[in-house]
Amino acid sequence: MSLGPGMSADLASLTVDADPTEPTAPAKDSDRQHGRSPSQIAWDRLKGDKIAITSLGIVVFFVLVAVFAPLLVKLEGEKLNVYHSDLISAMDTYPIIGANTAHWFGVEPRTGRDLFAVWAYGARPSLIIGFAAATLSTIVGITLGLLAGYLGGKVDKVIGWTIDLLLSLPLLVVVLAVVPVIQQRFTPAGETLTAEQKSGIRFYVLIAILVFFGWIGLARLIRGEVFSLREREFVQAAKVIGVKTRHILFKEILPNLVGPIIVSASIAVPAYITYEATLSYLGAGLVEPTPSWGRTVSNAQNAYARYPLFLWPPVLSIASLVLALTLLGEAIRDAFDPNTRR
Amino acid sequence: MRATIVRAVGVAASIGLIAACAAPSNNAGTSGNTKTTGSGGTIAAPLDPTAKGPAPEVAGAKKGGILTVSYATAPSDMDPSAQFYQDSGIIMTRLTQRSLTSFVTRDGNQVLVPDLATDLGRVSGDGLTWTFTLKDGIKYSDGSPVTAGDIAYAVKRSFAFTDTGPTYQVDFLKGAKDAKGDQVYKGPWESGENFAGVDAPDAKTVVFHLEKRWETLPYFAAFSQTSPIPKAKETKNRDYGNNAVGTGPYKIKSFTQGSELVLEKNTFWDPATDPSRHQYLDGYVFKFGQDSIKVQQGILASNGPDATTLSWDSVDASLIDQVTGAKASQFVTGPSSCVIAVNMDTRKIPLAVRKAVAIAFPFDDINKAAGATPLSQTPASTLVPPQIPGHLDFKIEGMTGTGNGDPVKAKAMLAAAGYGPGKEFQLVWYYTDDDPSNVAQQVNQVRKTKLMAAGFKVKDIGVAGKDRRTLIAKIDGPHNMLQSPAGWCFDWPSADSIFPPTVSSTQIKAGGSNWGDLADPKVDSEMARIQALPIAEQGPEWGKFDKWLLETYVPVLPWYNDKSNFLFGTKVHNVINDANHGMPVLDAIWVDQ
Repeated sequence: MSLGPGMSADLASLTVDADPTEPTAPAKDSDRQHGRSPSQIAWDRLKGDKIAITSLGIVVFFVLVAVFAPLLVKLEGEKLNVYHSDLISAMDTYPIIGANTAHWFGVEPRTGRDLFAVWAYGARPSLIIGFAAATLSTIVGITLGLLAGYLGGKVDKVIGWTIDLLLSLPLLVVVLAVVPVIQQRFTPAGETLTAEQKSGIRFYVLIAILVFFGWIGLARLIRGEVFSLREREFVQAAKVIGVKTRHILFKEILPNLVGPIIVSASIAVPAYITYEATLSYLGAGLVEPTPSWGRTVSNAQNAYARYPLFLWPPVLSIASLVLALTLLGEAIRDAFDPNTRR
Repeated sequence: MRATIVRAVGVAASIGLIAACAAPSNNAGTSGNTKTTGSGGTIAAPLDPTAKGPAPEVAGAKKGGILTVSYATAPSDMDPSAQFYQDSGIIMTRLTQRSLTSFVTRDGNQVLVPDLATDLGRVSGDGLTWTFTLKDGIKYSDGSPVTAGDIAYAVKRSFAFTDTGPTYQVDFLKGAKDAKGDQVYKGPWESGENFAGVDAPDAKTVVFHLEKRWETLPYFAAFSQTSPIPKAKETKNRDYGNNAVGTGPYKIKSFTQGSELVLEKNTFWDPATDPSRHQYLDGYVFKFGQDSIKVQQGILASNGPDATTLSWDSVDASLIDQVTGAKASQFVTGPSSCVIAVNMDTRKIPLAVRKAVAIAFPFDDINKAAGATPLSQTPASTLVPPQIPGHLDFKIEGMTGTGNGDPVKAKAMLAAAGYGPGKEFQLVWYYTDDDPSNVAQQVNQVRKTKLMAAGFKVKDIGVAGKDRRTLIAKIDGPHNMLQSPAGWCFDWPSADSIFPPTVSSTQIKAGGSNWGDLADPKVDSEMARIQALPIAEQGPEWGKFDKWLLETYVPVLPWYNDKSNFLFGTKVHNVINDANHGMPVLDAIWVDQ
């Protein structure tokens, strides 16, 4: 087996040595590991991990907020993007009210929008972009990684070069430059976009860009794994008895890679959520009037001294969601990692 | 002054000259215990042709020290021929360059006095020849003598910069335009020095030859376009400004574009010849591209160098409590020279619909969304600002710059004009969609939401801020409102520096937009009639013209008069607002050491 370009040794620590036909870890009956799949073992371990369960609870909370945002806002008695200018002081353009029963998080300085509505709806782009981009980039990464690793030769070289090329591009700079260009591409000639159309396009462009750059890491990881797996006896045996390539890839090799894939995906989600917030903060993400936590943070930072309530909800939400997802990813990694078996 | 408020930053600049206020119209009433200088009443700039140097001392002024001026924008160059902006303009006219005439501040009022010239110019009987005589002993900052030829050369040189600089000289000086009205004289490099509009018969005399009467020429003579430029030392481009030799009390030590300008004393400046300027400080440092909120917070704390720093950016809303309360002594506000307005295209929007827009326009909500406060602006109901002689105080319904619009009445007006559900009238405008503070985007949303509630269909086209200025100036674009200019800053305290540049048909002929995109012979002929009157009689006529124009055409909704905001450290003294320019009288400032 050869190490692919850029293949580093630390990735090997994610390797799952166990496969259904060949248990390698010292089997202990008390661990109830014998004859069980790596995923089952990992799930059992996760269930006993308090940090993992707490993190999962936080993630589920934000998912629920995002899903039921219209309902929650209705419960508050508000609507998204209604401008309560009457609650703004003409003297200094700050709200004349704080948090109250009508506006749970108060209203936005200058415009008078309900901040709870902005916050609840703001969870949606973060989560949708985070999970959608992670799912898509995982699928692309798995496919290309499997192909490169198993087929080798020219296919491997082309994919390898592509990976190296994409790795050499500074992601943030490219995104800042490319978003307006792609947006222009989607604008019909001679036509102009309204704010809502623009925000819609930006939404899909963000997902596309994150997927475009996001598959690299996983593809390299999978490729390296496949390099070693394809030489293993059970794969060789399948080949000898004439099993189709597709079957070998998806039925024989892929199940052994579930661990690293889940780990990679669970780390990708918080990373993408951070990216969405960062890009919206920098003005390359979603635009008004679509709510986004990143943009709320950007709007709120200068008002912090006078009106801290504006800044705290999105900041705490991004921080706790990303932390929870990261800890959950860590826990999943630990659960799948044979080297940490207790 | 075109729509060139380069100084205005923070809220106002980022939304491209939109913002406003929901406050009582009285300056004194809204500024609480804050000092208001430059007065809110009419401040004609009276003329004093006999003023002699040196300028009267400021009581208690100390010598020495350096003043730092930190602000958000940056001048693109320091060329005296090209300048037409508030920031570089005030730096040149107060500190580095002298011109034929200049302004002095007396009891908060601006008075026009002779500067390099011995008087305010002598006009011939037919009004078509103006003669200025230079004072003796004027020297450049390198010690060489100033001659009348250098001033004539500088005036000719200004014709090469009419793309960004003023164009009054093109309009009035003889031989500048052909019969069709196109500029044919393009400065000494392109068109040679043979120009009939200005000459210097001897070393002490400058003569202007005019195409038509120009009663306000002495005001134009205060522009840095009449500051002498030695032909031998200039570079034939804007870079001349980086090392320009000047005649003012200070000279350029270093200029780094976009970053910093450092001035030091000019030892060849003779106070005995200058009735207008002082030389109290050892130097000035201008810092460009600064984060104004951080600068202003630092100034309020006044630690170390912040105690001798001044900011002329609009005070951030979060600091208003401080500058109107405990720190009121560090803040000066007053009227500025600009009026901001909501522009509509009279060719594309019928009069009845324009009136409905006026009734529906949510000034107060937009003001709040823009972060505008009573400190940054006062509502306007006229196009002639109150400090201009002849200002007529009238209020037309929907055109007062206040209130939140009446959607019900607007809907009824639209219905009467034949528009309604299924057949809405569509308003189309550009807005800035890359404002990092999101203010422009939010202002747009508020404006859109409220106008849609009044029964309009709205198409808002988001573009980058840097492109917007060009797009809104195009006369054939898809937009039918909010075209340029979004505001106007008068160049001298007479309405003939407001109306002819903003509503005459010449802009439309040149392919640029104006207020209402008007190209109406009646408007043109009325303006020509008023301009031919003696200066003292023009004022009231312009006031009447203002009302007639707004009532008859509804080309534009007056919105607000910009206010200047100066915030300065505890060691900075004698900060006075120059209401003609909306800037501080820089040379009158002195500091503790």
